[in-house]
Amino acid sequence: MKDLPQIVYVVDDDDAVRDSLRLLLKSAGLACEAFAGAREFLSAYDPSQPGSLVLDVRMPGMSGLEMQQELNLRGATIPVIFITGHGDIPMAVEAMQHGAFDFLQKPFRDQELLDRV
Amino acid sequence: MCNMGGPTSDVLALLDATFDAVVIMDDRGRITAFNRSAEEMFGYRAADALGRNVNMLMTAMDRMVHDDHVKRYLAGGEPHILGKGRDVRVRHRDGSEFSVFLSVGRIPNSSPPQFVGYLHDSSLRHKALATLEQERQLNRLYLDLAQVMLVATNRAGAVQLVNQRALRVLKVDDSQIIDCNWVDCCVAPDDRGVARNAFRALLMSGSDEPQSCEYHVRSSDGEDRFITWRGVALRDANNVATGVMLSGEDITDQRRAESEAHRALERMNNVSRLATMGEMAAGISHELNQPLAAIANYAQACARLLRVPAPDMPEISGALEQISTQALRAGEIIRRIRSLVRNEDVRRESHDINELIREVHTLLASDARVHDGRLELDLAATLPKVTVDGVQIQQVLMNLVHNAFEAQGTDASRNELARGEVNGNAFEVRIATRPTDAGDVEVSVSDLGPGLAGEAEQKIFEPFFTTKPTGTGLGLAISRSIIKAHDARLGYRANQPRGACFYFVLPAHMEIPQ
Repeated sequence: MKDLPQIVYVVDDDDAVRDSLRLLLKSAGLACEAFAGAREFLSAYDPSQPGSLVLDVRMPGMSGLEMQQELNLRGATIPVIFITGHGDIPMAVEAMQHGAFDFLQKPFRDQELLDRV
Repeated sequence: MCNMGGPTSDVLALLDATFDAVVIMDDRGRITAFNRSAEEMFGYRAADALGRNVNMLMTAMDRMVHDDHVKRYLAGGEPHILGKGRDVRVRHRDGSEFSVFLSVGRIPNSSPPQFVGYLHDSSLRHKALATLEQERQLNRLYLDLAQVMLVATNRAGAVQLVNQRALRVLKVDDSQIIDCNWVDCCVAPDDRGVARNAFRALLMSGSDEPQSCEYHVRSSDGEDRFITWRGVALRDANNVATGVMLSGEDITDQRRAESEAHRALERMNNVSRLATMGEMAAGISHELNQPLAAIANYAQACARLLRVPAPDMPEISGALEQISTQALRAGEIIRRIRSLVRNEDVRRESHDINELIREVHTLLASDARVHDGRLELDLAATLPKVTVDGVQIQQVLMNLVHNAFEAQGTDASRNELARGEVNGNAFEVRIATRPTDAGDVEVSVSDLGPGLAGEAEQKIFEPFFTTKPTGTGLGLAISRSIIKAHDARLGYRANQPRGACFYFVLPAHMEIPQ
């Protein structure tokens, strides 16, 4: 994947988390696009663009898990890395069963995220 | 009755009609008259008794000395029994002995002298006395077996009778309390006015209906017991009140149990508040992790940005600013949680809600100025009182007003206001009170901000839900739990013509008619 221009999409309703993720990815030399909500991302997302998705589980409106299922319905294959504020095992299991790439608990070490991206 | 040189027939008829036994004897001790009661008392028929020596009616000891007594008297000596009465033992025809009260007199002008003896069956009197005594003891037993305190006083309030139960409560002997003034000696000082009034009311009332009252008595060791009393006036034959009879039940323990139950309920309310917080705990960790995650990300980004030869200083400086902002945000969340879990005793008192609101108005005037707005009051003129923790209700109001100003401070709101889309003196928050149809008190805080969109309206009371960029989502959750603790509900409705309106209805305080 590293051969293609990659974009890391960040979807998190929390302004600070979203902005800090954007800066972190940028500092690591990665292209990043950030969205405040699931619907904003879904309407802007181009499946032909290679990349990965860093997705917050708990968001108002459509949750991270619901968005993952929506992507699956659309046949999108973008790898999803979930980030969550609290280690909710059943939720993580459900996400992994639906094909999530990984599951990170906030706060996390930058390298953990960057390795996965 | 038979005559044998004795009284005339009409006197005899008279004697037969008396209840006492009458025996007349002559100077030699021979029976000359024996009336009907005497027949019944001794078992002799008059015909059999007449002419016989009276000593046949006596016990062996008296029999021996009787003739001598008579002789000595007749010889001019001292009368032995004459003129005085006394209890003597006498003998029935069947040989049984019994007590009678005997009085003997000499029949005037009788010559040779005749003596009349009146015999009163004192065994009956003794029996009656014994029965009376028995009844008295039984009554005493009834009194003492009673589970209630029983106290009788005279008209002046001096204790005349008191049962064991009362003595136990008061921890005194009856010698310490009989003839003492009931109110002064036994009633707790603070309650003496109440007790005196109740006592007076009982004496004055013409009715025999028991009257109730409650006051504390103080035991000899200084312990106060709370007693519920029922009293009636005691009356003489002329229906004049001669005193009062009180029956009292010690309800100290019952009251204590009640207030303990009440405290347990309060504790349970706290527990349920804590349970709600338990649900929040997951949310709390999530919400704290948000700023912490942001701080970690920013810090790590800064470290990376600084590794390159020409670091992007404005970007780094912005990130550092964010780090401090997010750290403060985490601190704010912790502060809010602390105020939520503080387990203070709820102090519920009767309050005029309008008064509480006016105080809030003073406190919030500066908040209003900061937001360049106005805080209006629209208070109903007459409202029933409410039983609330004034400080907590004020906290809720301050939170709601603060939210309202912030909602109107949003850019969207400001723009609309600037375009004049909102009528009148916009940018104002209004606290209103009104009586509901049910007679309770509704308090509402409304603003002219953007109001709540569909989804926000559903989630607005959830812990950590917030529409504000810097909000913690705890303010409304705390407010709701406070209002819930007051048996009310914090609700939301759209304000007219626009904006949000938060309201709660407090139950009216029940005034007990005096």
